[in-house]
Amino acid sequence: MPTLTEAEIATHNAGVRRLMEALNSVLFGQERLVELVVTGILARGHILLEGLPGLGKTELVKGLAKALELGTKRIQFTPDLLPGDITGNPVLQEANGRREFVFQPGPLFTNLCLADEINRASPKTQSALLEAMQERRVTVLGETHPLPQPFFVLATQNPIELEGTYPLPEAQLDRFLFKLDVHRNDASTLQRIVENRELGVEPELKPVMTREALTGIMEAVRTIYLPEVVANYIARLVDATHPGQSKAATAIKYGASPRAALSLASAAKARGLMSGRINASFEDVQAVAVPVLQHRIILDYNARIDGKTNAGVAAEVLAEVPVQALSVPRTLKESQPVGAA
Amino acid sequence: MSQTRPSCSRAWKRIIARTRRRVNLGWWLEWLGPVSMLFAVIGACVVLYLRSAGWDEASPDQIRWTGSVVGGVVLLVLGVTWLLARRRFVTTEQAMVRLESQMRLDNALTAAARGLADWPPVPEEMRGADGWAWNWPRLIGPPVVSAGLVALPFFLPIRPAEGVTVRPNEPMAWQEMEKWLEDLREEKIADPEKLEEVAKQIEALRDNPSEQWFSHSNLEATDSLRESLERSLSELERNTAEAGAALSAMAKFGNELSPESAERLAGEFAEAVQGLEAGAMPMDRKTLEALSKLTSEDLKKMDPQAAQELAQKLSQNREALERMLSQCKNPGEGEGEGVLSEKEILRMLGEAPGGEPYPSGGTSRGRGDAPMFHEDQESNLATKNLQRAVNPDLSRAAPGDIVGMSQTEHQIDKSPTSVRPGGTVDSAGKGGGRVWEADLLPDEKAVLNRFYK
Repeated sequence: MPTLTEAEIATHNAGVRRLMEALNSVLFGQERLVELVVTGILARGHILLEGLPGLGKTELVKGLAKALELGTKRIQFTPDLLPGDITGNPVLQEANGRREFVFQPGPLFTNLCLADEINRASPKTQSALLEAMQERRVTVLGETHPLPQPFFVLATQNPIELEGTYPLPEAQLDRFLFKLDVHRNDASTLQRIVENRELGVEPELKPVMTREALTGIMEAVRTIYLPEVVANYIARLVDATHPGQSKAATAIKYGASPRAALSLASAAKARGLMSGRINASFEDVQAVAVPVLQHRIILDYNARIDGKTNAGVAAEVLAEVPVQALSVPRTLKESQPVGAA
Repeated sequence: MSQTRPSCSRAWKRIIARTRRRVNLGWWLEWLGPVSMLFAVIGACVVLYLRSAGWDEASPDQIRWTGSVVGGVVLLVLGVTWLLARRRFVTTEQAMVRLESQMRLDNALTAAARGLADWPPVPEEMRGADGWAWNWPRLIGPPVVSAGLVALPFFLPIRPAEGVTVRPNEPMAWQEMEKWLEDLREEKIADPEKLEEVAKQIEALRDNPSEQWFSHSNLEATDSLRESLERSLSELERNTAEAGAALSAMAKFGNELSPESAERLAGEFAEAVQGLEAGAMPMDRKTLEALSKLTSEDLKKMDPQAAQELAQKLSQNREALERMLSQCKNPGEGEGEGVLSEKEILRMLGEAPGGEPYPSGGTSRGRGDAPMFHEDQESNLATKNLQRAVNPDLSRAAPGDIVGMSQTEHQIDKSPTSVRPGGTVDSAGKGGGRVWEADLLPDEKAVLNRFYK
């Protein structure tokens, strides 16, 4: 695999920074969220945003679409939404004196699909997204239709409204690269929002990155060097989410899948590029581990009763697994490095 | 501070190598602790043993020898621990990853080592950059304990143990015979070569394995040798006595003897000397040569004083032989210390009716009769008393054996219970009361209480 030059990395890094600055100008006080969303986009992943209404989830996705000059479609998921409503349906048309079914693409045929309140659709409709998210294609009546590239699903869901919602199945959750919790803003950020925004008026945002540039950066992410020790760390981290493999995993009923390890590696590479490096690092893995793992582990009943959260348990696993599987003699003890950079 | 790429590379490699050496040294020292303690315990035991065996640790030779051994053992310990610890040694790559993870360098060293990126600048302060510090209690503890263990035996007051050789008991006859041989050598009575020959025969018996010393064949051979020696000594004593008597008579009555008598004495003397020479235990060579040279003519012309001295010498030899032969007798065969008199034996066994002593029995083993005899009155064996027979050793009891017997009686309730005229009984008995008081549970008692209320 060809390696990137420092100049290429610098170019890509500058583009990413512009994108993040643009998004931060739309969404105040959510720098960490913006960084993770961009990381997920560069890692070719789908993102599930979870948070209370009005925190800017939809604005973020719309801003992303504007900044990237990508095609965007929004699907408001409701209980009566049918699979065909999102994938598209064959429509009977008459042409040249003959009647035939012509496939009418649904709203999935776009680059950036905003699945708003995804948990309000029935499991049948939710499952219609599985093929699109994994294989990036749609099959209707035995006919497969590829989706436009790049294709991302950015879904949102409300964590407090349980009535009339359908929890996402594990198979679909596993297809999301990140599950990001959108937290409320503090008072100073709220003041900034009030001063700079007006109700009902969408913020202006100019495109900062072309589709080709985005595709180039996404290709560059693939060439980022993943050291063997980092790959080993990812493997041990994912393995530790399984019951019996770590102390923290006692609260876990089912651990993360191999797809989680791939997602972790891809996200770490994206973060490495965003940091202007040629390689992914332990720190990159640690930065994206919780968003990657939290929705892929299923807690057991006792842990839920104890009030443990998926994110909390994932953080415990992260804290428990050392970056390097190195046994240390008892003649040495851990100490704080003096000359840490 | 600006750093060039090659200098950064060299500096980082040096730091990585130092980290690797540090952790590997840690592993080595970790193994060295318990192994050195193990060797210290063994060494302490060895020193204790050597000191108890009379080892002189202050002599130069011993110091040299000890120094060599200690040096060798130390080298061995170092080598063994290095081999053991080597399996846990870290590689350069592991040390590098440790450094970059501790310094949060975003795996920059790994990327640089692979040639994908430049080596990062080396921070000025690198002390403890690997995130490890020496665990001094763990480092110092084992060597101090080991040194103490080795030094302790040198300060313990130990007295060298006396050399005790445990010699198994051997047949008494060997020691007796050796005592005779020793006496014969000292008195210069018998031929030393012959004495040596007998001594070799005793040694041959002793050379057998000690567990066979008391075997039947060995004891037979010992008895045979002892009897043979006793016979030869007896023969030597008889011939010495005869020669001495002849010589003494000739010295005393040399001029007064008739020629026939002198001739007879000379013949007896010559015959005795021949016996002394050709016997199973020849006489001492010197004395025998002096006697052999004496012809009948020499005897007649012999100075009475010289003859008397020679006769006295032979008499002394005879007395010595007699003394030895008296000791040859088995205990109980002759008179002497340790042999009970007939009176004492009678006192021990009890006098027979009528005051007659018991027959003496065997020649050397006391009375031959059994210490039981019939009496006019029958012995009271108390057969009418029932006695308990028990088998105290049930481990040897065969199936069907009676383990024990005892006399007992049936426990019969003798309280009057018969019906009397008028429908009354002498005693109502206590059965119902016992059931009521002892066998019923509280709930059952409560039921009965309610019923009978």
